Amino acid sequence: MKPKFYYVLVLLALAAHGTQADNLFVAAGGDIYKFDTTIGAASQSTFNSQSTPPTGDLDSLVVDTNGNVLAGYYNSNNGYGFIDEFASAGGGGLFYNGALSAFGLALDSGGDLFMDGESYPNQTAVIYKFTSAANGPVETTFAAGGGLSVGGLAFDHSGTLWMANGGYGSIIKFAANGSHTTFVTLPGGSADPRGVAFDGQRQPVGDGLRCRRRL
Amino acid sequence: MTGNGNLWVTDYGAGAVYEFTNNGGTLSSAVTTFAAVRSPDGLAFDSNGNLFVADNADGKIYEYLNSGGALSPAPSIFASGLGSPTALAIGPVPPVSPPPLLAISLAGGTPVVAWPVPSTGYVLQTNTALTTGNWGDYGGVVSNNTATIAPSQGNLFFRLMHP
Repeated sequence: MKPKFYYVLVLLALAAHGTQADNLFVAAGGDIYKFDTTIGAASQSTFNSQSTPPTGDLDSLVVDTNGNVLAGYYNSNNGYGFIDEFASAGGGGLFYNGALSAFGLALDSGGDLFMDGESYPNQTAVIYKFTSAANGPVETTFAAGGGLSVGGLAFDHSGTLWMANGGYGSIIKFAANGSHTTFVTLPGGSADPRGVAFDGQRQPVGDGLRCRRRL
Repeated sequence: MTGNGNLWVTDYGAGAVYEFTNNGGTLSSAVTTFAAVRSPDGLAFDSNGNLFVADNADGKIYEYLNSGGALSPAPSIFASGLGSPTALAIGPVPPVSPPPLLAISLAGGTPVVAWPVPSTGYVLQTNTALTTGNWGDYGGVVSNNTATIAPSQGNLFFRLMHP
């Protein structure tokens, strides 16, 4: 019996080394579902269902290095937006509630949150940067205006922010001062970029959006 | 080859997933198109380099498997029946705390079974023989994770169960 026992130990060690389990969070229908990536559909559970106002359409997700989940919403009742922050075990509260819809979220390497959305009521694309302060997060405008639409956000390995420029069918690259250039216009006549991501990331990333053309 | 900081884009309008290759720190504007899902929306990579894409119109999550640094050209269905998924994000699986240890001691000649406080959610169960699966919840008083056991007529085994 001993040889068989040893074989089992070796196989388990190889499996543990080769595949790392992650949580995959999915925004759908205003709810957040959670999966274990090594298990698949059978691991589906409800991470959060909206139960208290404000409520809205869930358009973006990002997970910080501590496993906290930030979720961006568009409030169709008033055209505003908000962000909820949930602990990894569930439960949480309002992170932001204001006149900017929250369509894309990304975290930089320092843990500061970036959000893109449309201001209400003039529907101008704005990118906010949130920094921590004694009385809660404070937003400043990172970029805004001409040539920008709303879409998914992501940081590359060098700390540069990128955005899916949904309404323009292009991908935008931001400089540290918020100025932007068009990296590429997507092929075809019906381009509608929604999400951007970089492979090989060492920090949790995520983005996404339900884009609404405003042009 | 994935994992080099390549840029990936979902194009909802074209039903396409695009890859822009990173060549030594510079992204190429030449695009590689991966097998489409119907209406790709949010996307995210896991720690193993597998790519997940939300199909907004079909309510599915697709997975492009990473095999030796190359993603499978066609995705497989990871999950379905999700309504209209929009965004995805990957996070760590929180470490699981080791289960508390059950200790048996004697207090004035009476057996006492206890486990550390504040371990919560555990139920003390008993069985008269380890060769059977007839475990049942302990029927006596458990206070502060401690049970004082009345003298038994025979063997009695204990375990902690987390329902």
